Amino acid sequence: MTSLQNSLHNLSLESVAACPECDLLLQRNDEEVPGIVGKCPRCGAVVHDTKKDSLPYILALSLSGLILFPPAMLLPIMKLNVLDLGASANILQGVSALYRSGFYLVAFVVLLTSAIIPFVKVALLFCLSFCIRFKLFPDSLRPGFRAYLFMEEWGMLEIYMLGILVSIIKLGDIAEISYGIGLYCFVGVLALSLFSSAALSEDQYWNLIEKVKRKDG
Amino acid sequence: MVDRPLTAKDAGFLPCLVCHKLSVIQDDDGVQQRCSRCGAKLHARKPDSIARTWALLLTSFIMLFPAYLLPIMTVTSFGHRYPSTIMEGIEHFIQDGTYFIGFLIFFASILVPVFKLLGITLILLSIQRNWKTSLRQKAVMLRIIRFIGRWSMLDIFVIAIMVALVNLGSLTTIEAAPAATFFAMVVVLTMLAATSFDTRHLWENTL
Repeated sequence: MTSLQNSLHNLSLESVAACPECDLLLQRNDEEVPGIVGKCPRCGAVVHDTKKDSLPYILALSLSGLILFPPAMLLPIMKLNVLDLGASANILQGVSALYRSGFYLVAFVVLLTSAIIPFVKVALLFCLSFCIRFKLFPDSLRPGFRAYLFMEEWGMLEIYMLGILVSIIKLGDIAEISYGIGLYCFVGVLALSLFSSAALSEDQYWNLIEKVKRKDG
Repeated sequence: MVDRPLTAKDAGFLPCLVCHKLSVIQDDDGVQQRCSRCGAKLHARKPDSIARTWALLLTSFIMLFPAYLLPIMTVTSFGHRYPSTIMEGIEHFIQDGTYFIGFLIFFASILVPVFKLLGITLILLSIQRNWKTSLRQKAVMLRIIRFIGRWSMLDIFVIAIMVALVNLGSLTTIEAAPAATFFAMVVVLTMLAATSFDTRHLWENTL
């Protein structure tokens, strides 16, 4: 990536890009090959990050994530064994326990960041990839991907996983903990969603969507 | 002709804030221009970015005090209630010898929110006071703030798991306490503050 020093002539939209963080105008290089990261020379932000063609992988990963999601949310993640008083817990039970004791806002934030947004993200990614793959262009395709990008940082499954680990260590020496099928499904959903966000290239998806749109008319 | 590196704004381009595609500014009086690729409304900068960021930042600064001073969790054991604040919870971990977890919670619940608040305040001040030094370091700092900010939710998730799991009737129960609400607000508001801020302001009119 090279910066343009006062050369307003010969600027065509196709030959330039702007740094997403500092607005510096940059000449697009010929060596913009997939897999190479281009950084802004002024602020160091990633300007160009075209990954290899990832559509089929993302389609497969998001479909698997979608299948594993219901058991990950509904089956018990772990269970505390003390005498006969064991209680099991999963994400939704945690939310409802917070709700019942009057912490509506905390319950809402936890529900949103650890269940609703991760689910909507996986579902959206599957629908988007499906439409692009089969050259469909519903009106909601572009708003759908914009919504996905907006929700990106608000899905917090990996932080919830760390929370599970902390709870295990915290309670481990007080009582015996047994793990449920929900935990394995949860780990699966987490891994699938991390892999699919890592494989996703925003720029590539936008270009694919543009192509589908042009074909659609 | 400007005597500094050329930005998209100087060249008469509008960068899409969602998909980063450039468009030529059109003077179609009053019609909202949209990105031809992703369909988002086009703005040269995030609307009211600095005012919004200040508002979110100040609100979370106020919320920080009840979040740290009030108890965040109450353990009830054989009828006795033991409320504890975030800092007391960390102390328990240290006393139990689980230093790693103690440090993890300290990092996620104390260091990160304070670092975020101070960092974003410094960046906003440097824009308003026109401090043009160490811009690249500030850009890196903001990138770090945006990356680690969400990990502060850790404590809230631990509480959400504990209240469901530790529910042993009269033996032991764990409940959330008032600071949980304030702390969750701090995390959400500082995350919003970090994303509502437009980094382009930092580099305006610089060499």
